[in-house]
Amino acid sequence: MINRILQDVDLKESLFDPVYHIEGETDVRGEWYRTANLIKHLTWRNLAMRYRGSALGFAWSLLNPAFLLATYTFTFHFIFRVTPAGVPFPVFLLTGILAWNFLSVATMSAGASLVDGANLINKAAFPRIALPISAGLSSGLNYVAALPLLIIFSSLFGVAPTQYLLLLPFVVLLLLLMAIAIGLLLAGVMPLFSDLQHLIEVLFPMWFFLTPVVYPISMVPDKALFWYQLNPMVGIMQFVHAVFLGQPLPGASLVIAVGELVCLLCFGLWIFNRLSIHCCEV
Amino acid sequence: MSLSSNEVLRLEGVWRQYRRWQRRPVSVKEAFVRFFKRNGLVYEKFWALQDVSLSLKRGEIVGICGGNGSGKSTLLRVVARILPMTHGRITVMGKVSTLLNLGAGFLPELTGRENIALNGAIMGLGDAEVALKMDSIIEFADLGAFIDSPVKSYSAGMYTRLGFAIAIHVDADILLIDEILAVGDESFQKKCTPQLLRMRRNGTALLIVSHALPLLSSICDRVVWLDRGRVKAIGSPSEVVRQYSPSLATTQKVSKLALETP
Repeated sequence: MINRILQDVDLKESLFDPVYHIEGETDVRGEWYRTANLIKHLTWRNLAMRYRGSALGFAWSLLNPAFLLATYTFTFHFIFRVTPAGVPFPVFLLTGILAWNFLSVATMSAGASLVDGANLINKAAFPRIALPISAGLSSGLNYVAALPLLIIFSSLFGVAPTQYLLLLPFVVLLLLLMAIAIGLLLAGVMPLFSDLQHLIEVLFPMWFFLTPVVYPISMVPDKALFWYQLNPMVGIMQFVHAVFLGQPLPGASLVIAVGELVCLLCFGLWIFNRLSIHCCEV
Repeated sequence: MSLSSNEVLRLEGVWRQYRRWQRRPVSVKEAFVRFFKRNGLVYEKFWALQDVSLSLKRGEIVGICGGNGSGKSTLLRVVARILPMTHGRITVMGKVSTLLNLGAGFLPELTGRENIALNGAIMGLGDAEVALKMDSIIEFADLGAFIDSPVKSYSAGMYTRLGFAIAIHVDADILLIDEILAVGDESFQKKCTPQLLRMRRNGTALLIVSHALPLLSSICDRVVWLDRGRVKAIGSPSEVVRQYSPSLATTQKVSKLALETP
């Protein structure tokens, strides 16, 4: 039964029987260089097109976090009395929001990359994986550009940077890899099912609330903690809090998170490699 | 089976099925609902390529001719790995570059110059190489001041000239060209042929889809006649053109009749 539906939508042949096989003597190092160069160009084009012709440019991308900051501080700190230990709530919140926005925008744009880049894919032959990766990287550059502002904002509230800040590259790396892992998975499937976008747009806010962004993990009841920590973003968000706010480094939750990330990445790569060749058929 | 020393491309028994859905489920919900209905997932199968086998040697120019819908463009796209094949095996040695469609891989908002840089990256050129060849590309494309305007303002001929200018500066082992040579004007066509021959001398194999019989006869080493997805004939240009022309004449006669009858 499952076989029939998978076959009819082409998935079975793609996932389990590799019907397409090109081989030949390829210059592997050259191919890597070519793909990396292409990614660099596409990332640059993404950013250029995003900000070309908009007067305020980069400032617009800060508007959303600023808005959320005001609203969530009022709701969760003023009304719900959420108080993270040792850190002013707005700083805690902004750190989490910027990281989460990076993840969410990067994942969505990576997921939609094969659909958005259809006119490029249809006409030229190039490694398609460059599209979701460059989408993730452009969001990454946006995030990194916003970080100095975060540091300034934090110091205004009296939160001084600690030596944990040196781990910052790992924060960016973890968030980027998570976005790419899920993005690759989505990118493979998105051309086949156009309403997946809406499904993801519903699931992401749910995931947001299951991650300690608007509340500290200390508020999660012990009974639920085991299941709660299975969420990979829990470990990563705790890591974010540690790096920027001097909170204690997460232990088990981060290990779980990295383990799940590796699995997701492998799965995402496999799905993408199997399905990306079919994206032009529809 | 790996390629012999002189071969750069080999197709063995390539089939490609095309599915014409009556109403394709484009959403997860639809796919789910249809699955439970008795005859929900219905489509017609159509074989765009049937058992195509072909071999290309270094520096060889092979032309592909055939009527509309015979699978010529599909064949190029399958070799370029833009479309998947249903059965078969393709073995490639070296870099495959493509010149398909107009504006192959151009982003409309970017200028001609920026698109050259982007396309260079897509085709596998490094930044230094692109910078080196930029002037030569611009000169060949002969677009004048338009090189700095957004590509969306270009005419079809300008697209073609730019695309071709970029393609000939890429040192590809295999270049796939799809019917674009017909779009340029005569002076452009006069520029093209020497360039294609130059690439052949450098060892690039060319696979050209064309309706222009004179072109096929003049520069191709071999010509393939594709009819409804099947290879109907492979051989020297004169042979194949001789076999192909009668079918062309029939189609022309039929369309002339269609025009004449009120």
